Amino acid sequence: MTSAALGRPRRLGLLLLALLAIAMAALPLSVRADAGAPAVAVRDELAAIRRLMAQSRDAYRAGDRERALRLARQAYLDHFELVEIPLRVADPNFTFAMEVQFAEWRQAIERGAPADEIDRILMEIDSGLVEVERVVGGPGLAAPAFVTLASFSILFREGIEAILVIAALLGYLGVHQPSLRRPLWIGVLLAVPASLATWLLLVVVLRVVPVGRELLEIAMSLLAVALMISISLWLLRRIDTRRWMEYLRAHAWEAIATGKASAVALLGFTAVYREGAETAVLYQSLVLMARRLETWIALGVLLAAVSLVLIGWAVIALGARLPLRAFLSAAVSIVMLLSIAILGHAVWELQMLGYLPVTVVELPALNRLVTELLGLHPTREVLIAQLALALAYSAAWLWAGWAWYRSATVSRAVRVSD
Amino acid sequence: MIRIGIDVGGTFTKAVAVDLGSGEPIARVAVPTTHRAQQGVAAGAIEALQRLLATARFAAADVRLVTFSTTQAVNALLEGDVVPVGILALGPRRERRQTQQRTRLERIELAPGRALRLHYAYVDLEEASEAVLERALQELTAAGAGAIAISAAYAVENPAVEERALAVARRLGVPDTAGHQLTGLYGLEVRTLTAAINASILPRMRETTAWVKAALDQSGIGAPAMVLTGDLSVVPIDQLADLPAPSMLSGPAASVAGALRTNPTVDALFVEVGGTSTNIGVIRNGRPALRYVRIMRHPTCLRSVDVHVAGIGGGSLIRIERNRVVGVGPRSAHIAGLPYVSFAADLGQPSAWETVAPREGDDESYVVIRDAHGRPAALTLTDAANALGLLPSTDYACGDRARARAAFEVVARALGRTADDLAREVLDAACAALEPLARDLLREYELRQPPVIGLGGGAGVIAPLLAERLGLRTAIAPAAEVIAAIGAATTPLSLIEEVHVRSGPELLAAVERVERRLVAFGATRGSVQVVVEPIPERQASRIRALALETHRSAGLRPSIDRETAHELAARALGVPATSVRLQFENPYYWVFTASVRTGIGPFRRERRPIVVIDRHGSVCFHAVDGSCRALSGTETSNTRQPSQGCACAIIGARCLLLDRPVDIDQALASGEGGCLLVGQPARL
Repeated sequence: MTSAALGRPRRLGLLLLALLAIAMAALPLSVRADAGAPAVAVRDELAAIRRLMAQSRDAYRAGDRERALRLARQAYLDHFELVEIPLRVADPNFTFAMEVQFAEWRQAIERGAPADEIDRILMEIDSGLVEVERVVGGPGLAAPAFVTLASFSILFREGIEAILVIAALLGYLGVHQPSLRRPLWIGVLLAVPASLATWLLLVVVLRVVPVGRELLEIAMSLLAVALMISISLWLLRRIDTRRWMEYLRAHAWEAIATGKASAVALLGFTAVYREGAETAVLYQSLVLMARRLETWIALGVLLAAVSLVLIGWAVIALGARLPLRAFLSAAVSIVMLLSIAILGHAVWELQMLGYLPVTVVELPALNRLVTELLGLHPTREVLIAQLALALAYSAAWLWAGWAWYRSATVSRAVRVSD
Repeated sequence: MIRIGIDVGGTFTKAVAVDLGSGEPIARVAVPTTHRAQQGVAAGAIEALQRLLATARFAAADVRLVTFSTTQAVNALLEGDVVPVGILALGPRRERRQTQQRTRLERIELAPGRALRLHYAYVDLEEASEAVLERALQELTAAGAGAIAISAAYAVENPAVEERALAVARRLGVPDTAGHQLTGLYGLEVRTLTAAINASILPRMRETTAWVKAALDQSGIGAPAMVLTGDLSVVPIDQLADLPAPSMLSGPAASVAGALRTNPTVDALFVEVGGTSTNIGVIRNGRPALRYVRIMRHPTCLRSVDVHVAGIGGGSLIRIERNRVVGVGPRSAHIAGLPYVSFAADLGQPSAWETVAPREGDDESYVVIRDAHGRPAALTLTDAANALGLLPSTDYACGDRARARAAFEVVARALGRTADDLAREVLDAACAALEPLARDLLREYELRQPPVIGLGGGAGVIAPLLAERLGLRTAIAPAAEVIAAIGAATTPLSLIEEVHVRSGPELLAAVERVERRLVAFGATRGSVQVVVEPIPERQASRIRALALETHRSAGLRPSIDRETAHELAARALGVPATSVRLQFENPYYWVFTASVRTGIGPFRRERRPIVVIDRHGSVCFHAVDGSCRALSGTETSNTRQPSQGCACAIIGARCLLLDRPVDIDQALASGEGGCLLVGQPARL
């Protein structure tokens, strides 16, 4: 083994780590820049509002409507009004929406609404308070870090897969039919604007379709969860490929084999567009979930794009080999975590719209923004859905590990990593 | 000990006897191919064999192997020598609609205006009991099917149901083919198409096989008979009776095999010039370039030598209209039933010429020469080369130059030209027609300055001139006129299978299955060389197995020695032979590396190209930069190779090409030496 061959991936790995380190180092600085002196006061006020909300709810359940109403008024007049001053400057519409919610809460207490309805209103106000914290108090450190990492992982994972497919095709064509490398590149390059167009189409459709925005968000979230499950569970995809290849039309079958330029271009296009379209859906879902953290999503995209350009150049032009198994395992783990979060968010939205029952549970005190981003909403239904998906992922990992172990022991001498 | 090769060509059937010790042909004969005989081309093959034995250069008892290459399968299709086919499709109930869409074939065209008659039946896999299958098959035969094509979805994974249907069909006495017998790749429609085409010629091919086997028995040759297929596999002749379709285009395959045997090369353009047509193809990495065969507009899953065919051969007639040369061919002296002027010993001094239509419906523009007694002879491309004195006396096509020149003078006088100008114009017209085909291939395979190898009886007529137009070197293969028969005689027992698996125990099981098949065909256990290469576009693998020794003989001596392999390595790597170093060798492979430095100062870069060459001169692996490492038999399972690249692992007789990273994580079999090569297959 030449030292050059050994050193190249290590250098690339170090380069990527350096990029991530620079990004992480830049995070707290920008957070400090965004967060100002008022942040501390706002957080205190929000904590006080939440405390009063809990006390009011307890009082209402105990049948003391008068005390519950007093506490509700206190929460609004003594604390939210203080938050309103900077909030109105940042987002007057949102401020008005929050005022309406506080008013609804008080009206519900006055008219003696069922406790469930009060609970639902309080959860909506609580979600609003998280948003208030983002708008006025700055996002903190953990939430942007998670969003950046998730954003990086989505593009990085999809991009790596596309690069590997293209590198394999180019390698094969280089040996067997070099003249077909050009149409392959054409297909690959066409797929990039097509992916962007798909994303734009998604944005437009989400704005134009005459369905409630919440419903669309739920649909996007569920679609993203389905995509992520199919990405993570490679076995399912393999089964699909097998079926697709078996029922391929004879002429399409031949075109792939005999290397018609158009077929090869299509191969390059689909290799990249498949990943690109998935990326579009996943990012759209992430944007909907991580509102007001778009800058951090963009940072993740930028980091991933730079990394992919470097890796693509190294793999395709220099023929470097990377510790891809480790890279992809980490990226897939983050994508799995993200899909669990998005599922929690989707179930929560369904509950907010009244399509699912709500059973409130107590969660241990955690950073509100992080729990929000992880989709850890305090209802039993959300937690059950997330737990089920987490268990399914664990089972898939165990199964994949077992299959790998079994194949390694049966194989006589050589094993090829997928 | 002797090997016999018989090539049934479009015009002639040629047979050679090759001495196993020297590898040289010791006897050769040629007889006209008997397309119109009752026994078909088998009659000519039998006659060639008998005449070869009659040369008395060897005894029938010394013959160890007889190998045929034949175009009989193509002829059967072209001439409509086919029976109606019943397609029995099987699929899972939940995918019934898709299975039916892909298996209910509307029409299979075999030749212009001639289509295969088809009948159709479908059975759900869940209900495919023997009784149900028997009923379906009986319905198909009752409808008029003379042979059955069985095609089940996913049969490449589990062929059990197809095998069950085959057993039932055999019990009913109906000729049958199943999709999984032809390929291991996914693609239900293409498997169904190929199985139907194969089934349609089964009755005819069974007759031919039976005639050939009976003739071999009568001649006292007890040696096994084999057939060369289009992808250079060599299989028992019984397979011609069951799976004849793969033998289509075995003629060009045999020619290239013969050329490579007599003149190993890395990259080349080969030009096989027959009497009526010319095949042009490519040799890449020491093997002929292969492609999936298409019959009319129907793709099949059969692979064969990729040849471009032109209707111009050594015997092609010259066409003249309004005192102008308008072309050469496609009709030849053989089709017109006339001798070439250069070889027409009975022809007197040429004194007149005329234009005729060799077949009904042809243009009346083909030139025929007559002597003073009115005896006719065909004026051909070969005569043009003879008239100009282009052919050395040793060339098979070299004939009577004076008579050829006299014939051209007769025609040239009428056209107001000189004989030389006319002969040159004729040859230029032929080369101009062939040049685009050659350039297409050079462009498609990105060959840079490859030599042109001339094959076939007319090689000396066309190949040098074509090479000159292309600016390439030329070489005429020794014994070019019988090169296909030599190729058939000397190609080792081999098999190529494509399987839908890419890695892990399934791939190793497939390798072992191919090895077992080859041993069953006669290979000595332990002498089977296997090369596994990925087919990325199909997520599949191709397994090439080749026997170095057979039960009945020690096989031919290896095609090349270490020095030749060294030269081939230098050519493959594009470096001088002196900078190539041998890194590893075992009884099956050589691994050579070189060191190439480019750039200056801080931009100086060094790369280490690698090439693996097998004992038959094929380039099995070629990396433009990489590393290699010997593996000893004492490696433990703790030893792990970092995942660093596309690779080639040589373990004993196996050469595994991998398009993904590779780990060595288990001990090699005791005493089994190996070599792991990691590198980038091509500079991009």
